[in-house]
Amino acid sequence: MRRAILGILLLLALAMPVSAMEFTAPEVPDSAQALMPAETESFGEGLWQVFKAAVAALQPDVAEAAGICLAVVGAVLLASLVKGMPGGSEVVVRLVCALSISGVLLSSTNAMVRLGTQTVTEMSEYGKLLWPVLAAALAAQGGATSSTALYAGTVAFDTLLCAVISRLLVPMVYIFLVLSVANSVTGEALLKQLRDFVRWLMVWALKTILYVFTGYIGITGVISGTADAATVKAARLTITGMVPVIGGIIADASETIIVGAGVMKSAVGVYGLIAVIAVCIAPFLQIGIQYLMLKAAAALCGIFGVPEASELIQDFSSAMGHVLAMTGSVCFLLLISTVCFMKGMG
Amino acid sequence: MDAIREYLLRIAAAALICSILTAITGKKGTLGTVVKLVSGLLLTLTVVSPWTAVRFDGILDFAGDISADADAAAASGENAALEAYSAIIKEETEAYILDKADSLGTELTVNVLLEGDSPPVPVSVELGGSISPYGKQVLSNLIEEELGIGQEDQIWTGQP
Repeated sequence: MRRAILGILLLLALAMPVSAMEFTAPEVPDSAQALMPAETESFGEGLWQVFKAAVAALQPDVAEAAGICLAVVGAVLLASLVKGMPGGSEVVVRLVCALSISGVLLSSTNAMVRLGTQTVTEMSEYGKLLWPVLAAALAAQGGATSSTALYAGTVAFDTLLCAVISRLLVPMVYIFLVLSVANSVTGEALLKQLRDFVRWLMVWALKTILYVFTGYIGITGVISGTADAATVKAARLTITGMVPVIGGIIADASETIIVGAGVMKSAVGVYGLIAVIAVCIAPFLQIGIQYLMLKAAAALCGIFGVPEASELIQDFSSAMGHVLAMTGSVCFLLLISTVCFMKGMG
Repeated sequence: MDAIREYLLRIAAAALICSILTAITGKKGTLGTVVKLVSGLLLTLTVVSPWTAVRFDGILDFAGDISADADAAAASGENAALEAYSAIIKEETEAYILDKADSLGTELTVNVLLEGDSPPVPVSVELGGSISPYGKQVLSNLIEEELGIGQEDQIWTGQP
């Protein structure tokens, strides 16, 4: 009877200290609270709940985007009718058409750019709360080198990417639109080339940062993982050199800590992944709807015989695409870094 | 970053001005040719001149504190793990000694002290309560052989 009680007390003693080492994920931002599922143990189930909730809330955005595109198509139709009338000046028609399209689309484009920028900021701020918890959990598992390298690299690239987006790429979207409107009015080859250069520069900047980040994460994972594995092996050799009973106690304690920290790290990581997607998905879908609708409108306007108008609408659609790419890039960075933290030390 | 934004704005503005001038004057004729030449020179100067003033000092200053933050994050995790690790080793060692004391038919209070952090090991033990001299000798030898705590590091209190 006494042995049984002692055994139970021993089990409780094993349970208590691990719960004193706690790693909990930061709460998701208010904007994404409504999308977060009640239970986040299963990543797949949680992701599905988030996606369903985001799509269900999309109806007003689809209606708004459709209304804007109808207005744009109407403007182009009118322009094509005027163009076809005798005595109509082509330059005036192009100017009026370009200004009408810009007038209709500028407000919604501005709103989407602000939405994208706000989403980027929210995701970055959430990441800055999540990564220290994951880094601590990974270090608790014995992955101190991996933890430091991953944290430093992730924060550095996140800071760089967000600074490039907010201070360079977002202004470049507006420069791109100005050049597009000017090209649509004047038809100058120089403006077209400059517009294409600005578009290329935006895509190149995002791609380069993400490629370098992915390379850094991959290489860091291998090098620091090797260092951590060597450290853990050295610690195990130290333990096996001890007297048997105390060596057994220390080995069991080590295993308990590593497993406990691993379980908590996984739970934090899964919650973090779902939270990042919850923050990103609704704005991403809103901007995506605008992008697709404008693409469809550009294709539709192609039949009216005003190619400059169709090209201008296509450019506005490209601007939406660039905002989508910026939002998606930050989301990608957060997801990959979180998965790398979860994968570290197993 | 602001400098790059300003640079691109200047290029866009110069391109717009050149395009408007070219559109007004036309591309043919003497005036058109002169305007094209001037536009080209203006654009070239706008594109090339800022590069002579580029400085890379402090361009990566934003990364300064990140390394310290990374070390702090890892250290907090290591410290939490070490605390939990020490607590488990202390609890299990004390439970082991109590179990052995119980098998000798005696009840003691035990407090194990740990030292070091990779890993923390028991270095001394405080034992309180009454125990027979035989039981004390047996338990003392057991603690020394199986837990590596020497007799000089075993502090017995409440003994006659």
